[in-house]
Amino acid sequence: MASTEGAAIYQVVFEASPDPIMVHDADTGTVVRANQAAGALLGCAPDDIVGMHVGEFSPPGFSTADANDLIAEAATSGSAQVEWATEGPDGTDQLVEVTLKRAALGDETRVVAFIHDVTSIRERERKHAEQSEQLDTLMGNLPVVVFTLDPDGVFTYSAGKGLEGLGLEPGDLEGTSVFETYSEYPDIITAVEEALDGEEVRVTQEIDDLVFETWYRPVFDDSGRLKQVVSVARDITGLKRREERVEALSGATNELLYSRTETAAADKVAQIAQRIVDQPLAAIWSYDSGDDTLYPIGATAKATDFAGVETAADLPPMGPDSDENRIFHTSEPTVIEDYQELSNPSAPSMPMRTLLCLPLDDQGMLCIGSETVASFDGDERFLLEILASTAAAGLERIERETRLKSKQAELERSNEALQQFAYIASHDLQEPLRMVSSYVDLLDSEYGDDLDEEAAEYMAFAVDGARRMQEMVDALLRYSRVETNAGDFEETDPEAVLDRTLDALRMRIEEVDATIIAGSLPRVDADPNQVGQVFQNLLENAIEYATEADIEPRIEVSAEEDDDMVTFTVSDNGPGIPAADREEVFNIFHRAGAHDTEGTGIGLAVCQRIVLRHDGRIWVEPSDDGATFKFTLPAVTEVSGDD
Amino acid sequence: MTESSEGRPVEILLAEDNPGDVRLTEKALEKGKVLNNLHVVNDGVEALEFLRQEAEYGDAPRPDLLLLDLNMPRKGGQEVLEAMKGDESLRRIPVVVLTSSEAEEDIIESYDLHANAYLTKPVDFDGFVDIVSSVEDFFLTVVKRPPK
Repeated sequence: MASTEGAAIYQVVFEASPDPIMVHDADTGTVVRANQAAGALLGCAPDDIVGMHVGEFSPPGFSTADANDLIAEAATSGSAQVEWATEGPDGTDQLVEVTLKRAALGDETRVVAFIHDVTSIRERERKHAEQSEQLDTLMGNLPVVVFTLDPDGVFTYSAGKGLEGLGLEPGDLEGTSVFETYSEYPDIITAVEEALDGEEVRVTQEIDDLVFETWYRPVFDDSGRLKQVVSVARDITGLKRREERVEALSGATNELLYSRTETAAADKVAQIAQRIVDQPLAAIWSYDSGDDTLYPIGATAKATDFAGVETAADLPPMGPDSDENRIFHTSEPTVIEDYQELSNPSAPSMPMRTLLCLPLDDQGMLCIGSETVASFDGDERFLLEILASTAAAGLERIERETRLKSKQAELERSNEALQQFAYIASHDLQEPLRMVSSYVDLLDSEYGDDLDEEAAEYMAFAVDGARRMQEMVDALLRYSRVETNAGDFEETDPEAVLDRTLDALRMRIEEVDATIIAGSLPRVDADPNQVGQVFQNLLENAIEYATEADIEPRIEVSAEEDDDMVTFTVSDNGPGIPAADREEVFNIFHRAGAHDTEGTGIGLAVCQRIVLRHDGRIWVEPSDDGATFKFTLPAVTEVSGDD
Repeated sequence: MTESSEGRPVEILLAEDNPGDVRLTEKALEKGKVLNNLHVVNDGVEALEFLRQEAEYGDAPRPDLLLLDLNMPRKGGQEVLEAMKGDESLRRIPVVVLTSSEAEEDIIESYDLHANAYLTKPVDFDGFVDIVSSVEDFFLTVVKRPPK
């Protein structure tokens, strides 16, 4: 009963199966039974299939012999499988998987074929494989390192072109623990620990010579537990390098700005050039137009070592006929691909190959050499050219400063000599002059009575000459004392100084009934005695010239402060100064106007010297009536002191 | 002419290398009112020999006043001052520095070396006479000099 019921169920399953099923005679390979689905597959009634041989409906390329072999295999081993590319009932391509199973029926053996349409499964599998391959290709070629870590920090995946820089193949890291493999890199360990704690981390890390920007992203499962850490590391070594170069260059500009000597600047430029290009053979030459030759002024230690010389100055100069000199005159940055091929190199024995020559305007040339045939990329060239123009400007500034300094030293020397001369002349002239005037006096007092009128006149001329010479010598001494007897600069109240000066001149002022009006005078940083001398000389002049012109003197003194200087004005109502004389009045021994005015004409020269010593200036202001003198003195700079 | 306060001619030593100034000093002293014996030496070495009665100056009197020039050959006035002040027997002789130097450092140094007065030689003869007679007046008649 049970078997009957079982047979009925099998019958239903057999007939209702959506997959075609066929039962074959194991010995002959002919179909003995087929279900509805099989009929549908072959486009006929199931009974029509009975009696057909497998070979009759197997796809092309699968022969009857192949079919017999397959059935025999199933009959022997119990099962066999084959996949057929065939044509479905609607004419579309179809992939079917044929699974053969042995079934014993009494002493006869049957082989049951289950046919399953795997077209869509195979298609999905194919697509998946294709995608997976694409992803692998993509990962393998990304210029990064991609890796994943399990919650214990063990690498579960590693790929990316970036691995090459680390000397690794994709997958090399897989199975190793980051805590072991990178135990020497505390930055990495710290970042991984944070990521495993569930934090997203983005850090810059160094591995040997390389710099990576690495991103660690924790991935959690549905329950919120850490599943893995996905990480991408980008090699930013080149980027960093570029940043460093630009920094080196901007540092160079600063350093060059503070270099005082040509050699200091040159050494600095050589160092920086080396930092920019990693070529340690850098040297700098200075151009001498006198003999059309470039002379070395600075070099890196590697460069002097390479040339086998002690200092940069011992490097061979680049004479007028050398190839380097020719490049200098083109003013164009030039790469000599192979130094050994040059016909007229300045250093034929130097085993140098590539040489980059960067002319520095008309100052000289920066050369960067390599022992091998090297190339300089656009970036390097660009930065080096900026360096070259900075160097050129720096060297030009130094040259200008040096010229200025030597000119200044020369001026100081000549000024000092003049000073010395004036002092000695006035001092040593005193003695013989005293002899002349004393003995003329003595002659006059002892023999005056014996002289006739003419002799007395001669005597008078001699006395007058000696007196005037004496005055000039005194004046010269006063002039030279502006420097030798100079006092320190201090905060000076010009109003108090003027008051003292007026006291000293009181008698003269009262004598000629002079009026002096003083405005408010801002404080100055000056030698108070010398400020007094300036006031005294200007006032005396004003009084004398006005009085001589029969004018009652009226003098105004005022001052104005602007920026860091105070401008003083001393104006009078005297005859004034002709335009042509306005500059000459400050010359030593120059006398303005009539020559019978007392004095030696040294007063204004002394004033000018005093004002110049204070870094100020003095001049005659054009004016229609009277004379107007102006001079400047440094103002007192506000210092925040104690309250 | 009057005699000095001691009732004898005063002994004046003039140390001066310029004969013109020597003559002027002689002339000025002639015009003065004090009876004096003027002795002249031409440099600092001779001045010290005179003061110490050495060499040819064995019989030299001890001067009542020394008129000392600063710029002299061999030994300058300041060196003479220095030597005198370091010498017990000479340090009480009054010294008047009479020079053409107006340099501040010369003035300061002279006083530092205990000069009794520092005078600048005037330019004209009358001025010179005035100076010399002032010195005469002050040092030879007004001032009580140290006993010999």
